[in-house]
Amino acid sequence: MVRSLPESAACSPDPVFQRDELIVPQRAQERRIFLKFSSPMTFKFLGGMVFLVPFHLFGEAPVARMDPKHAAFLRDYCVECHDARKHKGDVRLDDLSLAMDTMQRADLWQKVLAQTNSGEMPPEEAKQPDKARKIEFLADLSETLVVARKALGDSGARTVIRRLNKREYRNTIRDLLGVEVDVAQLPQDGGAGGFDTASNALTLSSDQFESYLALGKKAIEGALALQKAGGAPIQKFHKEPEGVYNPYFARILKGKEEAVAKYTQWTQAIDQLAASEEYADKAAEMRKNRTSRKFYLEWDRLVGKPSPKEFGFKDSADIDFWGVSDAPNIIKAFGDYYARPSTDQGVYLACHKIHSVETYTIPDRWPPGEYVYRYRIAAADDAPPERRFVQFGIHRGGIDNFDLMSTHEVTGTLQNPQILEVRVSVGADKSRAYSIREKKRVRRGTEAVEFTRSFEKTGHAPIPAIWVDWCEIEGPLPKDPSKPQAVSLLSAKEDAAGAREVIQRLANRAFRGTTPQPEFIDRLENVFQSRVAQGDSFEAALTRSLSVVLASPAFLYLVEPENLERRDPPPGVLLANRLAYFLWSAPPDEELLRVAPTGGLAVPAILSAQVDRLLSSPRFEAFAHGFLHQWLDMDRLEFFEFDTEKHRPFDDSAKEAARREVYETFLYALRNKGSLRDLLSSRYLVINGLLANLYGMEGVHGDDFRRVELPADSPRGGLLGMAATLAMGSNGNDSSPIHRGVWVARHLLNEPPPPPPANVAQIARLEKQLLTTRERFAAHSEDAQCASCHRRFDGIGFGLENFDAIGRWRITDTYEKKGVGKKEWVIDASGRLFRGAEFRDYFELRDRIAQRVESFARQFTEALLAYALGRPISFVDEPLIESIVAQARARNYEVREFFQAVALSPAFHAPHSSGVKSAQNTTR
Amino acid sequence: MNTPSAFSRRHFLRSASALIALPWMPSLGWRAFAATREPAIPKRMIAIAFGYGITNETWFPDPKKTGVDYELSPGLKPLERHKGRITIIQGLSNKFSNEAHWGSTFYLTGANRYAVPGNNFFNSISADQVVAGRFGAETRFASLQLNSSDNKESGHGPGESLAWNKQGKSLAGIESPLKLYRKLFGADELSPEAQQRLLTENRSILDSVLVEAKGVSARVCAEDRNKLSEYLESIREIEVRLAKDEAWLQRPKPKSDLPLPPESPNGVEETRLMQRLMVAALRTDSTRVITYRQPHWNLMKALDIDFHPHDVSHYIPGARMEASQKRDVKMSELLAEFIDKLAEVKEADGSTLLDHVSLSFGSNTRTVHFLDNCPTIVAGGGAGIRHGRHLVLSDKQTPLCNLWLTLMQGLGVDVASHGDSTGTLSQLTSA
Repeated sequence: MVRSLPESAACSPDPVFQRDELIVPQRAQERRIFLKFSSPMTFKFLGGMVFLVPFHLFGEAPVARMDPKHAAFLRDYCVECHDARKHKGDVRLDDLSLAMDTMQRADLWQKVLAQTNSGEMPPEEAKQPDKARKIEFLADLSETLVVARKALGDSGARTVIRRLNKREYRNTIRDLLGVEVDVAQLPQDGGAGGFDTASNALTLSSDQFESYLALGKKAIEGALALQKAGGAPIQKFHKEPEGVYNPYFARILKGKEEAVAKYTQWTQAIDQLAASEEYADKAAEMRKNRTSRKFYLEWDRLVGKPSPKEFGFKDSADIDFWGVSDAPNIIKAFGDYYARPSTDQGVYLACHKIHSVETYTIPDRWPPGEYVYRYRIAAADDAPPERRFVQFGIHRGGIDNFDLMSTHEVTGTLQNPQILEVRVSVGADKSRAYSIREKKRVRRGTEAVEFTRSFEKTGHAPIPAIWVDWCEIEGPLPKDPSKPQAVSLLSAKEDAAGAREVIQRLANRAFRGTTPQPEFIDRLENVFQSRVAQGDSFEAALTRSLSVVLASPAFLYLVEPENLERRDPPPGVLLANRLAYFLWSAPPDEELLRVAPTGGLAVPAILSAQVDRLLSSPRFEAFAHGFLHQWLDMDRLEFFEFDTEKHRPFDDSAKEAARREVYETFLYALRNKGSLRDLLSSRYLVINGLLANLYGMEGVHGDDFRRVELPADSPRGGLLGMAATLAMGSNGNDSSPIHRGVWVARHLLNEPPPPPPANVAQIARLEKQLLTTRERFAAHSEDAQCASCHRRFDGIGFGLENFDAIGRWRITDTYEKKGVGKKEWVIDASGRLFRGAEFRDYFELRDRIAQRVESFARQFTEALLAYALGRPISFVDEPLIESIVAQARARNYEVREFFQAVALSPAFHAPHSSGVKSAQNTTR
Repeated sequence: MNTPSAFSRRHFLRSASALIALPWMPSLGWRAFAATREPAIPKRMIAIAFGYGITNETWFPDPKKTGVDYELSPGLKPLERHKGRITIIQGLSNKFSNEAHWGSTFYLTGANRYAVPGNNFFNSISADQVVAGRFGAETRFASLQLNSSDNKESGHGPGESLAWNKQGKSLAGIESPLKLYRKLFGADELSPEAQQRLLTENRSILDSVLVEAKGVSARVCAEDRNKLSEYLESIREIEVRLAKDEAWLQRPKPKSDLPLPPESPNGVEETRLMQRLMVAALRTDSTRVITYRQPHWNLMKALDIDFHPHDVSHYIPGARMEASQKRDVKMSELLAEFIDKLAEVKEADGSTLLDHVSLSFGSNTRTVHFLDNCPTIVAGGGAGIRHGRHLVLSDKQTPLCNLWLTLMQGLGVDVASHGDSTGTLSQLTSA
């Protein structure tokens, strides 16, 4: 029985709104899909064939259908109880259609899946299907359900207006006003999967509207401050740190030495007393179960004399306070410090007991703007390669509280120091104090632990590795001419007319081609005037009005009018907007807006040239970060704090570099006529010094990412061998074959497994056994419920087992269980792709996957289209996807080609209009 | 086109605002006032959910021992002192839920994600919002939605809070105690006159964007207009709230003796602070309806558990199962503390705040990927439940919405059904 759905909630528009004609009734009539296809079509999905009603039954969306052979499964195991007569549990399956063409049918099938998965059905006492048959049934059912959900949820390829997402909002404000806003306070974009450009996920609530008003106000205030400061003279600050630190170090050292001297006198006095006949017994008893330190500290409490006061301490707690236990080490560390060269010329970033973070503050009286921090810096000759990096950021006090902004390799030497420059932007509520320190892990207490450990191991503190000669701060720097010109918010005359002019100016640019309505401007002028009447300053009153512009629909939404003949804005400008938000996540630049209004973009050659220009611009990096991060599910990299005890190299700096490797490799391929194949397997890497260090490669230094050739036997080259990919396929501690396998199946092979099923029991009977990873996972193929999904991806995961949790190559692996023992084994990375070829090891796996470049290209195309169009891919898009893949294939899957094909596709140009479909195709 | 002007609608809203009951709680505190004018102590509702589920083996009491003669399981042990004040229910679930990682999205709604053809996500109104629709007019905030800072990673699923409005849109949640504190007790920097001016100005700002929105709306196609309605709807919500703000203008926010919460407390502290603030919000009658997506990962971090919450939800005997159990016990401890706090507050007639609250605690996810037998604890006297019992329902697929319906009706909210409810749980109130 199907209970009624809560439909009343679904389609009851608010009464107030019913009266408002602006609000159309719910979704418009579903439109039929017409496709000119001559042959029946089976939709390739999930790597298998899912039965769809042939497309020649035009007029209907595709229907997912269970293979008729499964009718027998129902008949054999279900219908006896779930028939017309018994319909046990109010469920009838004897008349269940194999076609999942309605929500109700899909729901009932979903129930069959859940019950079979949980093992509740067929009930224990009833006849059971054999394993192979059950696997086949479950696998087909879960696949067909995915297609059914997709078909029933198909939006019909209609592109709908959307608001700017957080990234676009931030970039748009930056272009418009030249300031950075903190978008963290806006709610998360995106709902159930999909990209942050998807219209249906970009909703808006009243809280959000108010956040926009508040953020807009901040942006206006920041821009005004910046513009008023425009032309301010450049200031410079130069500091030689040794002048400050050496006297300071001397004071610390003196304090420590005195404390040690006093402490030595005190312990000698106790030793004397303890040796006396009167106290010998007492002393012997106390020594029994105390460390020598405790012995001295507790002597006072138990014996009472000599008194710590006589030695210059308040009491024994005071002795502890002076850290005398650490003092000898610190004194030694200072000794080592001053034994190093050039301590009279600069300071070392040493251990935290001496000095590890160097902070300089931009004076408050300097105006907002861009500043540069400049360091003359060097690595000591004996510094090991992994310690030749510094982190730049905001130090929030304490040892570990550091907000990392960037990491830099120190390539200078004491003989020939380098100049390191880092730029910061200073605004109203932004920090003015920035710091530099040696690259460190962030976990609490690690620095103190490292200090103690180093002494235990070597008898010394870790050697000071990084030396700073001086630091300079300079700014505000003149505006970078390559960046967009901000709208001027300054007015010559501070009256209503002046205010109106500024409001009009901002609205014109903010609305991206849509003419602001005069009544809107009138009202904002009124807001300004009533503010002034209440005693506000010109600037405060204007700020209020201007912030409203930044919360208006024509700014927040990518508006496209239905009737293009009014030419407001001209169709070319609309296209320029689409293009710029697709490739830059930002508004069009001047050049694009120069070409657009005259209809230039309608000429394919001109459009194509503009696409090339946008792709080549540094601003295209916004795409790389926004798209790749989402497409490859890279937020998983944020999930874990990696166990830096076990995986020391994978600190925050390395994690960030690993993330960038993905972006930079993609950008490199795009800019150098590279192929999408390079992402699957390549003979080169795009890395910087930090990653080279992580990968154990020599001769690559500096912060810039560049191409590095690989030896033929390298496991690197392509996404499969990247630290980011492999670390995502871990749990922060150990490699996770499941996550790796699922990721590869979904993103590289275009065979996404069905979603994690509800109600599958878990295997817990392997406790107390020491097994290899493979043996542990073997259990997955024992139960039909597990096998039906896990056979898709476990094998791929095993093939990647030669990489540990952070992507280091390994030959053996170990497994340790508390109270049971430890086991070590040589990794066997052989396996088989699901419904595909076998592989002997990782290298063969990589080759097999690289051969499937067409599947990968298809996956990429679908993702790119969904991102570009701001909507989920529809069945209607099928021919378009095919043609884009074909076009790219003809050019060896050149990365640039995909972008050209999408930007020139009819779907990308389809106007927003009721009923207009983007299905027609295709080549340019 | 014949669009009612902003003014006529405004007029409607203004007159509607007259219907919004003036707060009956004077700034002195409602007790003195209540004795003379308002005899009934208000009823309140709190719903807490915790994303990924619990440890199956050690959280549920033995299903064979039901009624009052049952023993609390190891995972629930910390609730021992409240055994007589709580009820544990087994056998509830949301039948449309298929998403194994979405412990909170449909928890209070019971909706079918796929209910609307052509859409891959649908949700409907949550139980708390139904109650807020009835109780909300009486208080400064119709309802409060609390969220955790780790919402995304804690198995709660899509949504910014447990609350979904009539249109099935997620309501934004407050994810830090500090923000909640400011919302509840933050001093009004402005005088009532200045606030009145601000309200007027806010209205003219809304009018401006409304003009612009209508201009835009008139030019776009029907589907786009439909999408833009979200914008107009949010403007309307603000207008309604402004009308309410105006009604509350002369009443300063209550004072609080709680210290200002720290900016980023650890997960345990975060939960405790939120509890204190929830109690404070109810005690000052700032609201009568609260939902809370409790932290999960942050909670585990505070317990020095290094695993990701999802990995813990897939516990196997050993370290991960221990982690899962440790988290269960901490959650029970925190719940026990919360009940203590609610029971400490005395009402005018000598009863306690707990006596007038309907508190529920649970998740749409049981354990691992199981979505049946959703872990469920109810407490408090607000909905007239007879506590101290362990109920194992004979129908293992009883809709969770039957519980919400029972609680809502118990709170005096006149509703006949909710989500996929098929009736009420008469066992809860009967002997």
